[in-house]
Amino acid sequence: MSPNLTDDEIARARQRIAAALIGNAEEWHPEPELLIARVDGTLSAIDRDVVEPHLADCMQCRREVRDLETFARGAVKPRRRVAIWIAAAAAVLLIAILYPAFNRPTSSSPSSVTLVDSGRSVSVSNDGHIDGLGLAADAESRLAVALTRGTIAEPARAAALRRETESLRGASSTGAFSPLVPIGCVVVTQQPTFEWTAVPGARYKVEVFGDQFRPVAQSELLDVNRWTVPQQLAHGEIYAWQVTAYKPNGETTTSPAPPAPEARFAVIDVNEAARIDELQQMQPRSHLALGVAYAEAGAAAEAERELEALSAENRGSEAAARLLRTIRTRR
Amino acid sequence: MVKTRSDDPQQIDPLLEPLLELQDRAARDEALGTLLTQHADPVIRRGLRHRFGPAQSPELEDIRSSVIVRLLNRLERIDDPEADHIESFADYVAMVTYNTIDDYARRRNPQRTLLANRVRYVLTHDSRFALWRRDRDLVCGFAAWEGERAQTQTLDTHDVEERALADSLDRAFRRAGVPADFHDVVQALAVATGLNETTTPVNDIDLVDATPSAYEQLASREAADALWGEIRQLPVRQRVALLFGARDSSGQSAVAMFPAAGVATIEQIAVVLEMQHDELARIWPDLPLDDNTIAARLGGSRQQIINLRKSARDRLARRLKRR
Repeated sequence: MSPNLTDDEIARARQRIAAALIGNAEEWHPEPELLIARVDGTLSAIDRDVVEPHLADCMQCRREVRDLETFARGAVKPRRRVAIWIAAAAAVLLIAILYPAFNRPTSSSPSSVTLVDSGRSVSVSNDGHIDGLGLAADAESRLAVALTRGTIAEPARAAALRRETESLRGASSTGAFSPLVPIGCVVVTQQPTFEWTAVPGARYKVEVFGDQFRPVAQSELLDVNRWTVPQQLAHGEIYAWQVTAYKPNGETTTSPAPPAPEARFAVIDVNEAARIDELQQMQPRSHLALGVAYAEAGAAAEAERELEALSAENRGSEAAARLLRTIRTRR
Repeated sequence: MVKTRSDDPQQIDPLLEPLLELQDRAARDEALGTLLTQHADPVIRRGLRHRFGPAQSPELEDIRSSVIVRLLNRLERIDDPEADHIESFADYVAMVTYNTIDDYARRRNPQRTLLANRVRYVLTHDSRFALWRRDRDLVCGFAAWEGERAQTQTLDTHDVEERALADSLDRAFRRAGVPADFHDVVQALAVATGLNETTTPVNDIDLVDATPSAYEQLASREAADALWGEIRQLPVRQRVALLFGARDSSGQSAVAMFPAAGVATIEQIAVVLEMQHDELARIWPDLPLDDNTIAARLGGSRQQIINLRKSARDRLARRLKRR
């Protein structure tokens, strides 16, 4: 620190520096031309230093780049020379001639499934394209498979968690003192709420463990049978938890206890969380898109909630009912 | 060396001269008020009308207010010779207005922004089409029309296909027979594809956060350390563009104050700028450097230096605000 300046002068100098560097800083995003150059791979070294750090911080621009990448892969077929025009015209003519013989589905082929999703009509055409949602191509193709075949990919980790805790989840339905949720699932929040069966007059303590049964969090003594962990658990990690009931007669019981399996759950992977976050911004009302995205992330409870809403809006639709059945087998 | 506006007086719009000449705060505020109401406001309203039509709404008032706040922020720093020179105040107001509308649109309807990007991509990658600036407008159409003024605001897009955007544009331009404003084209396509219906509630949109970061006001050791720590995390070109050009309200180099303020020593500054101490010592008396000089050092254009600096300031502000 300079011996020539008083504390007040130093403080003022720091304020002037802060004002010069970040005072009146406005939210800034790269021009669309720069995002397009990023997609084309034609950014100069200087522009890369502008765009890349920004993309690391800005979900909005990341989404725009991803969409452009998807779009650029399939949508634009530059026609730079007459020869290409001629070739294209010849190809169109050939397809027109051959079409009746092969009768392949085209982009104008009729819809194979149509649903109402929060009041909007969403349809899957026979070529696997979804009209009405405006999603990226890869998301559309997964949705199309889900709607037409009723299959939704489940993360292997979520399936393993579900299988290994099956007996514990079965026990909780008997009413005996035991954890209720979360068990054998992926939670979408980093601060999940724990619930367990109540014991009359008892007080409770919850303990959460990370890898190698390392203690991560524990509650105070609680009067109610639910507790939200106050700190953020790590994305992508698997945790176990147990609850101890302190009964009025001085007896204590901890559940689950060996040989019962651990009450394990996972926190949603950071990439899946970002994907769902983006989807919630783009399609906040789409039960279909959100339901399938939650299911693909292993978050069965949230998926069931969305797909129930979709099914309720489409009574009589086998596609909606099949999706709901698919997710309910994972609960 | 303190640089003043008089170094380059020809780049300033004469409309702004009173703000530079008046020393009395009250007289300056009055001049600012006149500038905003008589010169800026009509341009803002014209820009809003151009993009949204003649209807009035509280949302448009919010956008208008945001433009005013942004202009005020800039005009408060009118003496700053390194801030982007305002050669035409009307053009500057139009640019700020359209940027604010774009910010609003991308938050209000992110999908519309995706559509606009796709349309821009097609127009700049398919040789049938072109996208060009004419006066203050962004105009598009067939490549053969490039340079002409936009002549239609109503584009028939009844048969648009999202999956065949280029061919849809081809049909629409053929029917129009004349170039169209880019934003009008996007609007027509958004209406045709139903994207205008997917919107975020206006209450959730924060167009301009005029609240200064706590770190802008703090003068603590902790704040100084945090600021320096974040500067070190920037890419080196951003550090150079930010630090070499940074100046306080009197035009003095902000970096020259770092050692005295206990932010960083000259040696530490040389390290983050990835240059030898001797070289920095030679430049030190000339700080702050103008954008053209920084551009020559980095081998880029003045606009790239402005982008580097804006990106750096945005990143610092975002990260320090989170603390």
